[in-house]
Amino acid sequence: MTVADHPRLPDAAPRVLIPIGVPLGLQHPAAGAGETVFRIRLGREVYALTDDMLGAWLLAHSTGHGRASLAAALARDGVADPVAAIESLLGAGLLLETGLGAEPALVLAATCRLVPLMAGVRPADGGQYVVGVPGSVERRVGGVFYEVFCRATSTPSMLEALAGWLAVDPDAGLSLDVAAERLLGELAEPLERGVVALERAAEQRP
Amino acid sequence: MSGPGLDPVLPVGLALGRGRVADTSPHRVANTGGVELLDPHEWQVWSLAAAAGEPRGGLDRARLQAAARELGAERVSSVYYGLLERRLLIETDSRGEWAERVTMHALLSGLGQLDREGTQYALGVIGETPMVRLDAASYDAWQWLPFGPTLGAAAKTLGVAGGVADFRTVTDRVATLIARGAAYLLATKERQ
Repeated sequence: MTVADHPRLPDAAPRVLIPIGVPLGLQHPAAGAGETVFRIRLGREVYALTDDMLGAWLLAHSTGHGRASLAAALARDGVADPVAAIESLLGAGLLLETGLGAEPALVLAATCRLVPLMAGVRPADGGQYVVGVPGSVERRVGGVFYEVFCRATSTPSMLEALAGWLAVDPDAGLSLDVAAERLLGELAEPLERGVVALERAAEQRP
Repeated sequence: MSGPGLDPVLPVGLALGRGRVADTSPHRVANTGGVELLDPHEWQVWSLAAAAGEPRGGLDRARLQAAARELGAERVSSVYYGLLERRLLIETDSRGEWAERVTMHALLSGLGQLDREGTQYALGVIGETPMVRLDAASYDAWQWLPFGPTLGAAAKTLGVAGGVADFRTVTDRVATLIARGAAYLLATKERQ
């Protein structure tokens, strides 16, 4: 079975929301007219998010939110219509919904690529690596994530990065689906902590 | 002053750190064609080119090589030309021809304006203290120069590269962003 023809997961399977896009920051209106907006870059497009959408997009960086838990968290934060905010982001491609497990992880890896937002620094113990801004911040990341990170500039998707790594490092001892599942597990923290962003593989690079 | 090697030399690629054995593995740099391995002397020249963008706007060929020798790098000339050949360094020129051979990629997250007047902008991690503060023109360079098939094309689209003086400004801004860990260059794919 290839990635393209894998079956859809049953609706009852747990699904998590993953943020897509690169933050460009707050922009105040010229001459005080209009609203302050937060902009997200997705490929060659720039989206201006409303406060509610921004809240949903940022909260989605926290590990493991599904639609229901994200909506509940937004409601606690005072968002009047959390479902609409989430749907707007899904519709714009700024959130992506995925299942858990090897097959959804393969699909995610095939459809997205990493956008590095920090540089690699050094290896760490336990098979991990340090990524960051030398002299400023350091983040520990998992070994599978790091191998994909290393190939982010030369491959169109995380899946091709994984396959490229496993082809040259048979000592890794991982099948592609196991590596993809580990990647999905290791991806949440670097996404939350600003080490990388995700873009869709099909999206033109800016 | 302009001519081959007389303008700033910039690093190409994203630093990845060393491999699994921290003290003995080669340094790694990601480029469009894959991961490049750099020995300690190559790394010294490459990282010096990266750091030199601030406060001086980058070092030209002779100054970069002299600085590398001062730091103890060996066989500097052959290392330098080897890195140029591998497209891990690029010699800039005042006309901006160099910028047609690379793309620029932003690092860090944009945090946006720090003041209503729009004179100060910040990069970093959302929810944390800003790491890099930029003026409006440098922030524009950070957010818009990645758009385009080449850095040169993006600069022209932005209207910031109308002449030699303009392109020197673009080069200075790119060098500064690289030195501050806010951007990196990649070689365009055609020659990889």
